[in-house]
Amino acid sequence: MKLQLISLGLSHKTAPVELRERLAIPADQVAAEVCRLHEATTLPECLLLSTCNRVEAYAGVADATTGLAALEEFFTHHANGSDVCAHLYHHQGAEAVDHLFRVASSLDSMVVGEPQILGQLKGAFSTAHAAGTTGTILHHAIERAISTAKRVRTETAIARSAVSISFAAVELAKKIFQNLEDKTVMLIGAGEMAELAAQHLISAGVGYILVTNRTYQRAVDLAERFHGSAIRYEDFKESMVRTDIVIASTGARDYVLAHHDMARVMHARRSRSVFFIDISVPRNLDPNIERIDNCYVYDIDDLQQVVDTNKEERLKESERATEIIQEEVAHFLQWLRGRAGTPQIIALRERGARLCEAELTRAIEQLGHLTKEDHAVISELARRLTNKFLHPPTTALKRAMRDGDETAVAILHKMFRIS
Amino acid sequence: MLTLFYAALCAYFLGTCFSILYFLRRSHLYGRIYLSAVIVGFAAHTVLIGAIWLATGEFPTASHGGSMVFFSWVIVAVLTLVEGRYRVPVVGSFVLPWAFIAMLYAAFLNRTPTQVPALLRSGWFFAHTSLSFLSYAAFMVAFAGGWMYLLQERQVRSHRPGANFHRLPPLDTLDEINRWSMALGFPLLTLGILTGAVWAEMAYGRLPVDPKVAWSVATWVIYGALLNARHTFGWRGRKAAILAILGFALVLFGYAVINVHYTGFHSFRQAFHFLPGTGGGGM
Repeated sequence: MKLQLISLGLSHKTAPVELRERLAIPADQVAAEVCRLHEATTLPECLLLSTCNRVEAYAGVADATTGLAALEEFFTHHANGSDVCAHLYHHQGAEAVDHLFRVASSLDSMVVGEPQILGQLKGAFSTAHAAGTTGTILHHAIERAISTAKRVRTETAIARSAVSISFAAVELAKKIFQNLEDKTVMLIGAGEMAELAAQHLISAGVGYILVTNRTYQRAVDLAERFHGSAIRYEDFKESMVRTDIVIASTGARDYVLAHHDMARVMHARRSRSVFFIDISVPRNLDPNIERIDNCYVYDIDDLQQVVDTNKEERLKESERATEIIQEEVAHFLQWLRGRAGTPQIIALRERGARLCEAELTRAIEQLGHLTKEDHAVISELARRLTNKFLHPPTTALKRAMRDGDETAVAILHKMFRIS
Repeated sequence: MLTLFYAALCAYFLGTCFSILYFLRRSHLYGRIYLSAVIVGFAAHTVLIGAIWLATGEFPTASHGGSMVFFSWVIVAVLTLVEGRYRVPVVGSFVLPWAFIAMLYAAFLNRTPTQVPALLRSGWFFAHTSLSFLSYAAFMVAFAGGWMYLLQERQVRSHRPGANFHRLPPLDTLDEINRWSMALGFPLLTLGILTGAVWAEMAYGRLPVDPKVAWSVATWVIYGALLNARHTFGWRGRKAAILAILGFALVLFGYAVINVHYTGFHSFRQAFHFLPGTGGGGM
């Protein structure tokens, strides 16, 4: 039986979030759903991938058209009445492999190059594998998808730069300071983005965190969460001497830190670098601070600009990634074609073995009086002759299958009467 | 000896190419090839210097070509120290090309040391020249650190970090390389000047005053002031980077103009002209 890969589903590119969230399968139900899919469609191999940006099914089938129809029916049923057909995409053969590899390599993601998708794909496969709905085709396809994704990651710069504001801040901090472990962050004010940036800096290894806020209690609460210490708002300028990274995010209408304040601080710090992240609008830090040696000020627009540049960079890199994917798809298809020849080769060799045994039995019966040694020699002769004779057509068939040379395959079939 | 020379030259050429490729593509493979080439080249280079010394009985710095061979060797030695300490192969992209150029230059010069007059042949000659060259190599690394610092600072200040932002190490690391190599170079330069003075005193009974001596003292004052300013006023980062570049420009000028074009003790052209049996010269 000649199996091929098909895929059907919807993603952030084809369906609005309302539909995606309705179709998304909670992690604890994926196993049950994939079993249901396996039973309902009677597809030999299938797999369900559900993330916040995509819900899709992959299957190994003998006939793509009926396979896709079965998957579509499953999705329509799963959507519970909503019209999903208009949002579904479907791929078969080379296209399906290409799609799977692109998804795994995060080229199809909302944020190109994000690393989560590979883990999600691995998870989806192991769920399906545990549920017993996978087979050779899916196993090999997922394995190749994972190694393709790894190649893309190491051979292109697709995931190298930050594409969110808070990660961009961490990336900049890492290019200013040699190591973050002995550095202190001061959080002036609070806000979702400022807290996120602080959280990322802590994950990146920042040593200590200071929190100040007009409402002291709020500072105490936040400091507790970050295992740092709270500072009274009136006193924060004194602590600037030991602060290496400042995240400002207050509702103040004007600057909380002026150029001359910072000039004094830098003198006391003996000009050790300070990185300012001003996430507030209107800005809280005097932009003139940047004129001081070893002070670097990034406001929200600057960070956004960094993110935009990095995103453009990722798109450029995705062209190089596409080349890698095409190469890998070709390899996979070659494997698939070579594999499709296996049953025919087995048939050919079995036929040879059957003929050999039949002729051998007849000859031995006719000779009747052979010694044990003679018997062995004659059997060996027959088997070796058959094998030697079948070797060229076997390799030719394998090669023709792998290269997709249909004419050669047809001729070989005819010549050796392979069914 | 010629084989060793060309082996080192080729290894440095290969290393230079791959250090630049590593800088551009940031592929670890290129980084490894670059490091291997440096190790092979440095080994050949070390044997070469020993061979020259053994074969002629003179320290290589006694000829113009030999001094270039030795200078290239100390550059790579300091580079290896920096690499071992800071693990930033990118520094090699800015330093190794100079070691290669020095070797290439030496290929066109007379590398066999001509006989140094007996009066001058002493441990002082070896100490004075090798210490001075070592200090120049350290200042060259400080210069490279300063240059990289300015490039990276421009990236960070632009608010639009480009490719160089990702290629270059953090500002603090570059400043630290700058500080470390200056802190290494300054005492070496001090010792180089002192041993030169003692040597001259012993050989001629007087302290020679030629343009090179004056120039070296000026360089010493500038590097000393810079180190002091870092220590007392916290002159780091941009200011230190610019001064490291200027300082090395002085060193280079001192060599190119005075050693090569002027006459005096340090000239390769009219070395030891006041002594019978003239020979080569030192830097």
